[in-house]
Amino acid sequence: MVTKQNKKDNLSYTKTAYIYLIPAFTLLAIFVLYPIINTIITSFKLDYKFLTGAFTEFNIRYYHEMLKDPVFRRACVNTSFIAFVCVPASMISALVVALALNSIKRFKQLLITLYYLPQVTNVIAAGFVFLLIFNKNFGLLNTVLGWFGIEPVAWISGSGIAGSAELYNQSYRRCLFVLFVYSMWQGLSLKVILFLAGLQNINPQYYQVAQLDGTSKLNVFRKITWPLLSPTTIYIYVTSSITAFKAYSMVVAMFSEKFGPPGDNSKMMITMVGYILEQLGDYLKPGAVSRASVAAVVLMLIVMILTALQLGITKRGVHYK
Amino acid sequence: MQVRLENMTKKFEGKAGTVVAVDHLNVTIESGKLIGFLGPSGCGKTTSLYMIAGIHSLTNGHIYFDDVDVTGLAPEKRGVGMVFQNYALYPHLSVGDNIAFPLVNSKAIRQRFMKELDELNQSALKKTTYQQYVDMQVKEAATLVEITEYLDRKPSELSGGQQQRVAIARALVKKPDILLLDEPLSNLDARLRLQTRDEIKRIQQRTGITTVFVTHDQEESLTICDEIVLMKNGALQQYGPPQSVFDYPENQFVAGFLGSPPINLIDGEIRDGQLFLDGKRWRKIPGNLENQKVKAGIRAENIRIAADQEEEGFPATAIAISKLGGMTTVTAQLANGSKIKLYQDLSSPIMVDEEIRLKVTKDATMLFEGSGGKILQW
Repeated sequence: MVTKQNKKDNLSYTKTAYIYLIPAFTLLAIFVLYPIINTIITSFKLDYKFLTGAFTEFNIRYYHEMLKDPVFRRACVNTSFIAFVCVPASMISALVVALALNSIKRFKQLLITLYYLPQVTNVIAAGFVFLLIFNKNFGLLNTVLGWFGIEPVAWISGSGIAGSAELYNQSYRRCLFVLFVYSMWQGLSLKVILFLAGLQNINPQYYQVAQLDGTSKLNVFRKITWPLLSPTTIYIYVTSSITAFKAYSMVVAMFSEKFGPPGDNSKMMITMVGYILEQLGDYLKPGAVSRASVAAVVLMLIVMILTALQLGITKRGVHYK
Repeated sequence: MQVRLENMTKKFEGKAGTVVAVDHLNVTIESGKLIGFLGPSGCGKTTSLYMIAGIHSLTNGHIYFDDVDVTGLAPEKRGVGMVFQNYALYPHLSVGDNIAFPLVNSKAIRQRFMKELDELNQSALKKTTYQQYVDMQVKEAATLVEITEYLDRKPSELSGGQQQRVAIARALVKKPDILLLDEPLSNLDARLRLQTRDEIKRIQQRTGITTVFVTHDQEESLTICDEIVLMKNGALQQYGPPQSVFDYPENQFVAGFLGSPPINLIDGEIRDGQLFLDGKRWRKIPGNLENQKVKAGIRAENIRIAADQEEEGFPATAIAISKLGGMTTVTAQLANGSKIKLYQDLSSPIMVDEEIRLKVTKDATMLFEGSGGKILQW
């Protein structure tokens, strides 16, 4: 029962708690909350001058313009490709690798270390290595394909795409493939480690019980491993897709700051973050900061909505201890 | 179902060399009995259980269920139900789903129950679906262990004792021929342990299933088991009904392991057919035994204090008296410092430092030779 005295105690207790929270709140307000709000406001200011703060009017025109911008659409498609194709694909392969690693005894530690190596490798350096792998004339991939009698493929090339839609699309598909392989490789290591940790958290006696019953391997995975691993899976999915929406450096590593293969000037491989930076370009030009803000606000909204959806949908199906 | 262990041996290869966990164990468990595998930590009792279950393979020997050699058989083909020490209930499934798990997810068990259901449906007017049949089986198992009201809860919402029952229900629902329990009471508090102990006995008697029960607690095994298998360092020490193992232990280890307080062991010597304790002649012993050093073992409940000055007895001094509920335990000291525990007769109370004389009841003195074997009991 809540008595008056209790209520009073609770209140003073709450007050004390707030005082303790003030420093953290202050920092959050200055470095997170204020920039977000300011970005939102800035996104509506037309011809905004960054240095003087002057602007002509409050309008949603930049939003209109951005939604009609083909480069923005391209950025949306590419980013979605990373978030909804590359991330699930690399999660599935990470789970398979983790399950395999978890079931072996010999060389386990060595293999785990090997799988973790990409995580400590520089993105730009690794991107350069991938460029060499996919090189048309002396790349590893074409050499291997050559053993099977396949003609060298120009994986990263925009030659001749200016006049031909067919060539353009072919070049785009190849670039997406390169991006897919690279992001799989790059994202695998951390996911494998996280899945392994999740798997090792499952009490081995659950498997012994299932074994005594003669439960098939598939049922053991479906009914025991998968549900008990679900908190790890959701954690990996949410964090990886947020990271995917912020993808930038890996595209630059392989397709340079022009966001495309040599010969392309349509920025075919641009991402959302890449688009924001593009808009910022010459930030002294009136309106440039506002346009970048528009893109930033849209990206933030997309990430927020998707994260909320993911957590909301999966809340029922996930078993937390 | 009868379970016969023949020279059952398990060796583990470790960094420190080979460890013999179970050493040529020969035991025949009669059908429908509740058997306790008993021994101190590391004696091989759980390893034995895991071998019967098929989780561990045998290094040597054979296991027979009735006359079928199951040594090489996969666990799921043996028809055993097992309850693990920490129950291993699936935390994401409700109690009902936990119990139904083997019926739904195991192909072999599913087929067996499908067949049963088909026979049932042939003579029935109203056909039962498999799902309904599973529900019936779950209900039945839950009723047996008295957890029907918790079927919709998650295991984490149950107490330890209730979780224990769910685990037993899950092991029994598939109608196994043998039930294996690995230290089923060790995670429960003292009161619940007593209650669950009787519960297990009741369930075992109701189902009549051959049950093997692993425990390190001698009291548990003495109270509920039909027979006990006492082990040490992987080797069988004694096998038989608890009371007879208790009354007639074959060696010093068995005598010392069973009973609380532990049996009194006093250094003694046989000289010319007489037993000397503490350098003093005590009793004449039957038979012809060589002169040797021995240990005399006498349980506290078999010692009484001589009633009056006329009666003969072995002299000692009472050095401590402790009361525990209705029992009063006296610690007495012999002249050489050996301590003996006995229960005090309430009709003739004694005091600390009192000189007393001790008498032993018939058939209660055991003599153990240096290697631990029993050489005489009279």
